[in-house]
Amino acid sequence: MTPPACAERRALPRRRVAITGAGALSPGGVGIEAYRRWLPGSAGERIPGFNPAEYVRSPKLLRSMHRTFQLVAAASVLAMRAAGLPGAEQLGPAGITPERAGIAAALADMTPLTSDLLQVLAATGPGAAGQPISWSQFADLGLHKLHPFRRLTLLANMAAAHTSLLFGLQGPSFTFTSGGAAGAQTLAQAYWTITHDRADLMLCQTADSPEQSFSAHPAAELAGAVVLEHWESAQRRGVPVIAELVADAPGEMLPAAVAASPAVSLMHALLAIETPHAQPLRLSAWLASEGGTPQRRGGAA
Amino acid sequence: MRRQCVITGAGIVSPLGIGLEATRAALREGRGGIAPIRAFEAQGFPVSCAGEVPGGGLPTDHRRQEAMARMALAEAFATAGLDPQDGPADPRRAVSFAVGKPTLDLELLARQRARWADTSDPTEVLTRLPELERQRAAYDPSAVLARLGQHSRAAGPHYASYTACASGNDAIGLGKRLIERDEADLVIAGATDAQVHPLSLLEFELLSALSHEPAATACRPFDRERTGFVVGEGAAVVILEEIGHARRRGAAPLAYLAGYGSSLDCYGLTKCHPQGRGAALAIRGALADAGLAPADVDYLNAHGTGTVLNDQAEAAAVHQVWGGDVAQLPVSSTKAMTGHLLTAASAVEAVITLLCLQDGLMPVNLNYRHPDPDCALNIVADEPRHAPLRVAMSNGFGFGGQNSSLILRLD
Repeated sequence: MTPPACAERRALPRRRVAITGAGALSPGGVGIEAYRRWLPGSAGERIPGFNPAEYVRSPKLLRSMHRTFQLVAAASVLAMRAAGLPGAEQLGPAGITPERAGIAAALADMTPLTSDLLQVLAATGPGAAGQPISWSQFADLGLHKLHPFRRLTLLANMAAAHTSLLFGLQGPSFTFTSGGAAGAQTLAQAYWTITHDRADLMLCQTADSPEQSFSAHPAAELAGAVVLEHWESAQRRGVPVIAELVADAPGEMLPAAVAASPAVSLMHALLAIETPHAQPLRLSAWLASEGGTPQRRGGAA
Repeated sequence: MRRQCVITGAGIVSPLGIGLEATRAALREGRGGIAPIRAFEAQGFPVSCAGEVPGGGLPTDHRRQEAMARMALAEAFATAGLDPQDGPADPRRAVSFAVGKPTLDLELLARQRARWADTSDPTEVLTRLPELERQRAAYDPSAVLARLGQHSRAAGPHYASYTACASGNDAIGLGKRLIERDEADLVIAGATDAQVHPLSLLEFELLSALSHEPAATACRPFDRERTGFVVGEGAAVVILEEIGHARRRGAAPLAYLAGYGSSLDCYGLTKCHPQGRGAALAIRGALADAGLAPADVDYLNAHGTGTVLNDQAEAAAVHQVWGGDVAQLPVSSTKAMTGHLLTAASAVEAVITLLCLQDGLMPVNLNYRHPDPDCALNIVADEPRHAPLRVAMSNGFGFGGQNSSLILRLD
């Protein structure tokens, strides 16, 4: 539904927004074109030959990241490289204030059902035939067998935490877990954050990984990222603009249709920015653009 | 002129009680809700106390957090003078909510051990226990959000967000943005979490984040002898409205949601920035959003978990922002009363802050006995303070360096 026009709406600040970088990884390989070629793919497929060390140089940071977060980081590195900002040290010289550079992430809830937990539960007694579980025994085993940072590996917002460290981003941060709508929500939220002068750059990111999915039929492995930037910032540092992003009204609604997973809805949008656009992309049209059905895009529907 | 966001309804479920009046009474009396664990047999378990919602009637399993959210939602609609079921689905009514991590049904796994004991592959276990997968899918945050929206006749955008212990503030702050940018006229915003569960408690124990002291004095925010936090549970919902929308239906604002700020520490995964860099940024962001100066804030409901580093960093951030005026700012953390409600913490504290404004009450920072030179703040110690309040701030910070601040203004 398009809200009615009103004077208040017209009076809101409208800073221009540029798309200055994008990155994708899929079972088809690295890049948006590889993702398109892979479609329609199969559920459960993984990204071939993915080596996280190619994207994250710090072994210490890498050790703290499970595969979903490694994938988010990899897509983000590709997008930020494309935007000419491959590391934290580039922000300052590019005239971007770290406090004005934020993150919007879309992720599914991480599964707590891990192999080490299953081993602890298998050894915990008794629990069978209606008898209560011995929680003290569960704790004794768990304290020795479970990873000390287990809790942190299960928090969806840790993707943003890792990425902030990679690129020195200190601005606004959102992580959406709204299922298939989440990817589109990151793009919309990032867009409005820039137009309303709360940030100059927003890195939008997502990933799906079968390993972190609570499903017997996990989705295909996908990761995507997009850099949105204040138009004047992009012009000032001379980075090629992939497309300008516009919205007709501040209240422009997101499309009602949702994709199969957070990653799919952002990947969907990536397909529409594969080639440079002479004309601005409209936010609502971009988020509703044809990129294939959820079934075609990984079979997770 | 920016569209203004007001709070017209609020609901709360916490270890202090169910509902605004029970919460109000506990705040007035300085009575905490942390007690020995009742949710499971904790004999021999390394964690002995928690902040649990009193009374029975709530489910004790993975459905608990949604049940608490529904109770808070019902109260929020009632105080807003609205019936959530009244009228057709409204596309200008949105939901911005943070749902805690669904707890894993360990009892089901244990009961059905014979079906999976020969494997530790999670996918294979789910293949053999499809009921576990169905249960999880039904209580996924997006599924809970959809039901809350459906129950509230909300046909506008549904945002489920998760920013660890900053989630509640971020969900409410995002609701403010939805109203300001004309994406909605009314937003149901809040958070819920129920993590008094053996696995969740063990995970925090592994992080060495929990206090092991007797329940009554377990959580001691800003005290020199503080040793960690206590896990709690609860839910809070606020009804946010565009001020003209509220006026047209004759609803009186309970308060203005004046400011919201969000930031990243960009420092570490478990430790916050020692000088509170990100926290100060979020606080300054909220002040700028509200168009207020630090000296305009009459009371700060601190994040104040009771961990050594967190409290120190928050105190440093407050010093940075308030500078020489820091002694004029009364500060307390209500986590000493409620425990740390994690995903729901800052939503519950936002509603507590609303009650503080309404009642001219600054809740006592329980268990504050030994001033810490690294947390030199004007702590509300010993007993609640009473004074007219116009502007109050509530902080919420989370693992991964996630920071958020809200400012409520009475008029």
